[in-house]
Amino acid sequence: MSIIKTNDVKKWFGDFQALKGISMEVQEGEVLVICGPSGSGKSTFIRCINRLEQHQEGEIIVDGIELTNDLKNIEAIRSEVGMVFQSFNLFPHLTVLQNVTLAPIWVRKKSRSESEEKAMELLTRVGIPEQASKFPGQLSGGQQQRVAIARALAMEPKIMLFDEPTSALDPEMIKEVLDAMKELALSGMTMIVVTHEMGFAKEVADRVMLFDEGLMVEENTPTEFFDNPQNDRTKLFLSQIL
Amino acid sequence: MKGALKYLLFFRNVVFLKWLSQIVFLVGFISIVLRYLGNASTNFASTNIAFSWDFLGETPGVSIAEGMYTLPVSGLQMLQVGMLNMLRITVTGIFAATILGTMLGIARLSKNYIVEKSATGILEIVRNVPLLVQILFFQALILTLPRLEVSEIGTYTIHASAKGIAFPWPNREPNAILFMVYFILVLYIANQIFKWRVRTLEKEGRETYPTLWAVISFVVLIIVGWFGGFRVVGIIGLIAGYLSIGLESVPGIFYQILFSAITVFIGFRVTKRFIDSKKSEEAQGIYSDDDYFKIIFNVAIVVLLVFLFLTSFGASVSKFLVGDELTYKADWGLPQLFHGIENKLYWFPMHDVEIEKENVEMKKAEIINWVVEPGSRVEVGDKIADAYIIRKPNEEKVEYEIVAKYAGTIETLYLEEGKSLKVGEEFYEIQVTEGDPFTLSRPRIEQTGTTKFKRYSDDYGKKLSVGYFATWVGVVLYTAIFISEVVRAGIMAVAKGQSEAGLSLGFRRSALLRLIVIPQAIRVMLPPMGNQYLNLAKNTSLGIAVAFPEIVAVGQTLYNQEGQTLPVFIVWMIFYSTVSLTISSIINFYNRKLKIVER
Repeated sequence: MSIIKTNDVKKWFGDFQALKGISMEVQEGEVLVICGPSGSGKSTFIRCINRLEQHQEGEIIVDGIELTNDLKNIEAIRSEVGMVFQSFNLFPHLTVLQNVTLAPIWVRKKSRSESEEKAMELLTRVGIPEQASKFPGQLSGGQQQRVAIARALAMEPKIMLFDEPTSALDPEMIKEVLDAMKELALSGMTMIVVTHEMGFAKEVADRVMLFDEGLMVEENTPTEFFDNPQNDRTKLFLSQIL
Repeated sequence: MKGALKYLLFFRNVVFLKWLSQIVFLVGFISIVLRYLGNASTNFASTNIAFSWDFLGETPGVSIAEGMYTLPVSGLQMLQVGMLNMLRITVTGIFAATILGTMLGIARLSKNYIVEKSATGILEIVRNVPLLVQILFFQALILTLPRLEVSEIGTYTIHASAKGIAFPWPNREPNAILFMVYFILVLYIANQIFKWRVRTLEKEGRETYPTLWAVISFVVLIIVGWFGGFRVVGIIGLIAGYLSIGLESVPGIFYQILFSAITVFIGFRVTKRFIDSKKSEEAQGIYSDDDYFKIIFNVAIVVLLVFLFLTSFGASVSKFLVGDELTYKADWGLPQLFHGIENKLYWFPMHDVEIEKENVEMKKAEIINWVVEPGSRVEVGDKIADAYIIRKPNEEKVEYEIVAKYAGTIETLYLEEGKSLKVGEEFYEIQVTEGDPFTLSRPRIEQTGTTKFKRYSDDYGKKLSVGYFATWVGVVLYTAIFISEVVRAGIMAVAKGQSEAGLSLGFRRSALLRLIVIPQAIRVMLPPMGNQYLNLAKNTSLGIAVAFPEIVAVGQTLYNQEGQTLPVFIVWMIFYSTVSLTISSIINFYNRKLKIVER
């Protein structure tokens, strides 16, 4: 059963059409990698899935709930969908532990002790339990991004969206974040990952998509996508990136 | 030849020029100060107005429209009334302007078109009109309300007229200050209990209900306090009493030497720290010309200050601390201050009882005979004296009984038998042992004397006079507008990614603002917010335009009366500096506390 289903999604920024009709499905437990040149609409598309951007035409159905202007639906979907940003967006005024427990306490209304226990579990999972009492400004980029992953996971989402999670990192920090993501993928989480890390796509993805100028130009298994691309645009993209 | 030329051209030497300019400036600065002081004293001598603080102890013989005392008995008390009136506006105004400004700032960022546009409209009007004009406008506005009529005499819940606005207010009884200190203590205890429960939670990892604990302990302690528990605060009064006795034996020269010693100590510390910083690894004990000059300048300032403290300036300042000569009924001087605290904060506080009006025509009361004496125990309503009501000079006297207003023990009888005092003056002191700290009183409209003059009674409810209303609304609105811009800038300074992260975690807009955006925005907002608070404090001086008796208006009245301009200016400057520095140190304290930790 598909957990995300989109049908002919279109989105304009003023005169500029960012999405020109995207139809796709994601199965439960699937890892989908979306790649493409900048400006191709891939970030806009995943931001539409949790309504950080509003699509203007078409339909998006997440876990059986259609995204409309209904506030209740938006809130329901947002608490099911976790998101990790390129620029981490940790809350700088809170400690790492507070960053992770803030949403469970105030949105899920869980007790502090339960949330903190869960948070320490998650921080251990992403490999930085010893940083719990520090502030984000005291951590390296890679550590910050792993905190951001733990923070999103603390809401126990069914789906995780990654918006270029490694683009703002130094090369030696990329690996630690990708390792955390791999571990997450292996645990059976449904993931949509916008990334240029082709190694990650080859190794972990169940499917790879290429976006170009607001359209999905190719969709395939990683092996087929990299070894036997069908579309000329894909061939060009791969020749430039590999 | 070359070497000699080098010395001949010393006036082109940068080091020489630097020293020369510094020394010229220092000498100039000190000579201007000394010259001015000399000039001032000569001028005072020639105009027969010797510079003196005596007016602080003399009765100014003018009344003040509103405040703690409307008929001040000394210049000092008059200035105190002005200061308190200014602080009333400043303190309440800062809170009100912050709340209003925050709401306006958020409204300006609202996506709701009507809310946003109306907030912008208010902003543009208030920001572009001078504050003085606005204060005059609010005065004019309230003066358009109907005047008080004879038919309106009576008690009301709320009433507005051209005389101002009156509303119910908890009347302070003698125990009130004791209870208020207890209240602050309870707030502190509740906060400590909250922190303790949070610590327990963090340690043991089980729900400990910190908020519930804090609220329940607060409510319980307040109830216990209301039924008498507040008297534990009396320990403060006890300590203050001993301090007062101890300070009485301290001579003025002690304070002069103390100030000098503190100045020398601070100067030494600052200079030593500076010299030490030059001994660090990077500086390696190398001093530039500026560094030498800085040291010399520090020493010069210390010498100048010590000189001032040990001469007549220091002597006149120390008079205020010793409390000699100037202190007729104004609680000045450290012993008097602590004695005041002892009286107000003892288990059973001392209270000076004023002569109350028996009827509207009463002007004075004359004691025929006291039926109590110091040490007598009285209950509310017990007869304490036979007295005459005096309406006007040389008019017939009507006999009446004065009854006790409070239950307690009579301490002192100020008024001798056969003597009279005006209504509102204190005539005996009682140690109050019973009664609630507050009683609710509703405003009352009364007629004064036989004239047609109607007004809100000073003794019932709370009255916002026209001057107070106009000044308060003026400065609050004006400051709130600038605060709204500070709030807006603060919120906009928080990166968009923060809101997106919050939204993606499922926060609603209100929680997002409260938990994520505002805590970060406050850090950006605090320093400019502090500036706005300083502006508010200083702008209260415009109250003089609508006859609101704040410190400037009162001071001006006083020097018109007494001719002592310079002392009043000194009082103004010291007072405003103290208020401003207090505000900025509070802001700086929070600023340091809230700083975001990085690396």
